[in-house]
Amino acid sequence: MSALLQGLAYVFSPVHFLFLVVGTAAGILVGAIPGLSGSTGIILLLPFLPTLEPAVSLLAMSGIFCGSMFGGSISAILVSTPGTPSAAATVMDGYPMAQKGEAGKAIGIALIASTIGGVLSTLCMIFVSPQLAGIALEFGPDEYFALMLFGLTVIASVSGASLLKGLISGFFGLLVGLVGMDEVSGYARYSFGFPALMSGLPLLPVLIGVFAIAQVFSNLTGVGKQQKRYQQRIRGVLPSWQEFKRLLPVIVPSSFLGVLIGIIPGTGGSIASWMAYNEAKRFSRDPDSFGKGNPAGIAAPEAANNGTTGGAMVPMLTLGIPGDVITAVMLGALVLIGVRPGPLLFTQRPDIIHSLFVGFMVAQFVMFGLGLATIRLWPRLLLVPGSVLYPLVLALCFLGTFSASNSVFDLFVALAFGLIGYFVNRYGFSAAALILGVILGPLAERELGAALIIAHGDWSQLFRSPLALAFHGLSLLSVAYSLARTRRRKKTTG
Amino acid sequence: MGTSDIVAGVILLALSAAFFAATFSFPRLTVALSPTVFPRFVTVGLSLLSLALLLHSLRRRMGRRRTPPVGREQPAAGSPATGLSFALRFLLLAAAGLLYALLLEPAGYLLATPPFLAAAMLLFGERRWPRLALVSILGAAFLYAVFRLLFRVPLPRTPWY
Repeated sequence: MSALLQGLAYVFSPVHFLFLVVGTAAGILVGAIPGLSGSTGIILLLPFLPTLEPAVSLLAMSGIFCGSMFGGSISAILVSTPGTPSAAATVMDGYPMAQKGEAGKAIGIALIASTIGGVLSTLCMIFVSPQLAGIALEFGPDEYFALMLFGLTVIASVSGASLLKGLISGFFGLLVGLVGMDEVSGYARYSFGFPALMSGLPLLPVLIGVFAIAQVFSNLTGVGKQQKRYQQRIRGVLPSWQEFKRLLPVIVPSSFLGVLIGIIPGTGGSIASWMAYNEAKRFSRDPDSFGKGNPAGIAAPEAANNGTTGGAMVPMLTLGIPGDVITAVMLGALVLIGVRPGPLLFTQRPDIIHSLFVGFMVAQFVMFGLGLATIRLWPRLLLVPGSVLYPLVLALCFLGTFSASNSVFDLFVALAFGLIGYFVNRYGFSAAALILGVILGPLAERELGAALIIAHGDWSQLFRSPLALAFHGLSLLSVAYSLARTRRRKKTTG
Repeated sequence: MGTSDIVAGVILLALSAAFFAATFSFPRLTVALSPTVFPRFVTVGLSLLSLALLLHSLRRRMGRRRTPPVGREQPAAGSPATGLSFALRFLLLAAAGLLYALLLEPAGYLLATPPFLAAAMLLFGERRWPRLALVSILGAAFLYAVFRLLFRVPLPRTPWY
């Protein structure tokens, strides 16, 4: 308890609180602008990170993470264009409400649902993370290897439209992760004579390329199209108490659904929000009203996508495995400033963990306050022309890449992965699976190497620990589930 | 979508074959994990998957079966379209990025960034010259001031400053 009080004191010191507020505001902004997302927001923060304390960096990143989830709903409601993929389900009922002149109320419902989802998911993070970290502290290399293998099989379940393309993306990520010095033999694999490649492909330029630069290239498709705008005046910001009471039975279960989805590595807000939307529709007394401006159709996905935030932080903080795309970028950013998430972080730097717990909770209320205060400004803020915004974002991506290492080589890496990321998205492959492969591949190989050294090269040792066996079982289940899902989908498509 | 899957399958198959072949030049360890084991697992896995994609796409193209295209569902947000002008803009933006990376160190941040920003703005459809000049020059100057002077990020200097 005293640790949390210390965290509270840390978060509420003026400068730290300012970073949290600025981070949350920036998160709402990048979330609201179509073509930018929470991961872009964190990437744009990168040049500042080396000048900040690790705990402050985490506060700012948490603000961006939570803010962007809500921000995505604003453009989804006002102009029928989800600001982030997680807000795609919000369009279904948010836009029809805005068309009826209830945009203010729709954003208000999204804000309330996001805040409740965020608060519940933060509570889950605070209670679950230390327990999981305590268990993870007991892991040996064989158990870690089994866990990494499980993380990799999750690739199959996050692969979206095509299992085959998801697996290809994951294996391509593993291939990328192979470049560089092998830890056991010290041999530089696939460095092709480039000294810069001897330490491997740098993670941050790869992340910046795949998620931010690729997005800027995708935005070229919007050139010449008329920018959508919301013409009506925004009024009636909050729902009535009766409406709120009616929505609560939708918001609470959707939030917990979001937490659960968030904890599963490699998933994220978009999966959770669609699942919550479908469940809300299924359990509704009036399912036909969904898609025509039913407030529950906004509350469910928004509670769920903010519900994933705390959930996605759990595997990232305790195991070093990102829960979703944004936490993958966050992981890369933390490694850049010398913080290695994992169970040891809980024992070695509890100050960081506690200020994060408090900061994450406070971010929800900051988001609520900022959201409420700025609701009427959004129709104007969404009019920033893409011809100004995206070139500046691209310049910031390059600046962030360069400032992380002072190396021009990293710019080439970022650009190359920007192009790869564009084609990955364009042709139905999975960027999330690719990054999961890049991050987890080297970790899995390192743990396998360590486990085999301890076992004197005896591979059967990998299957002796009950915990490792449980993870292997989960891996098999994950693959079987994905195969069954693909087969079912093939049957329904004929 | 079929042709792109065939192209992707061929590229990935060639890539994994080349990476697999390279493992024969790696040193072999008899204790612990040899540096060849994991790369071979990955390259063999990737080549099998690429082959599956290739066969699936070829089979669909030859029309023996009405199989659905692989991964047709695109994300709802930012689904890109095609077209020559888009392709040209795409290539030019990539070329501008490449040129920028090449020129950043010899020319310095303040000299390399405004033309890059201006080119990117043009490619994003900006036609108002005052805005183009203002944003590209002031944008670069602002970024330089914030990062070089305030945060002391050692950005490449111009030859005279």
